[in-house]
Amino acid sequence: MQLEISTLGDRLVKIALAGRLDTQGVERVETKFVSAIVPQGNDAIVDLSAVDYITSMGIRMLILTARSLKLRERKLALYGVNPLVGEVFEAVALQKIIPICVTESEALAAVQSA
Amino acid sequence: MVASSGPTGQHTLRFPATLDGFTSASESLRRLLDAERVDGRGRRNVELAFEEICTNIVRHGRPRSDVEVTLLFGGDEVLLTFEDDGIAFDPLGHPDPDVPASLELARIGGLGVFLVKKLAARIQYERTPQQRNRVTVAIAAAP
Repeated sequence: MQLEISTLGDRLVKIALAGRLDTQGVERVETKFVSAIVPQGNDAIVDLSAVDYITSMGIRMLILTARSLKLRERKLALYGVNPLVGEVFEAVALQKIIPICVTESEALAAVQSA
Repeated sequence: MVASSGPTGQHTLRFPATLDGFTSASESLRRLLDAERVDGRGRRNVELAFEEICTNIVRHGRPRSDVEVTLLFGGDEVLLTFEDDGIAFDPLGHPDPDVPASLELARIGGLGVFLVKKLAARIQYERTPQQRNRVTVAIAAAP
């Protein structure tokens, strides 16, 4: 499980995750993931195109991070989700609470909208 | 972690009911899925059921010694049977989380078992006469 952080602008970061977002994967990246976004109150777009597997632990990390951001009136959006991961998101209706976009520019628009 | 293979297509993984035990068992599971050539959706659903049910057993850890998972690869279906000898615990005995109305209200607990219910063909819990918890999950093997 790997993670790459890029600063895109003032209080706006892109995080690319790669690998398996399961119990072990979350254990490896959660601290870095959360600390790149939440303390500074950054809007975040998360590139999931290289994530090929996710379990409830990965979903939990995304929901808790998006929830912390919302308290700071900031947003998180996901994009580039592969079909096997997207079906897991649909099963728990994640798209009702976190924007799930196709492209990076759609994700940017989703976090920057009022 | 003990892995053994029985009749064609049947394998058993036995491991201590701890996160480390689960981690090493999930590596064995992936090797089994490679050998049995289970790919795509079928593979995702088997791995997901394995993780969610096993971590649930580990987490609700009133004293339990071992978890024993039997996998039966039967062509169209993979049948997983999870057993432990902890006190009676029915993972299906909770209501499903509602469709989340908002980020603030979204429920985090119970998502794992809910996912397995949605992705499996069948799931069932029983307390065996030997005082063991047994969860049976059938997964369509198709990729």
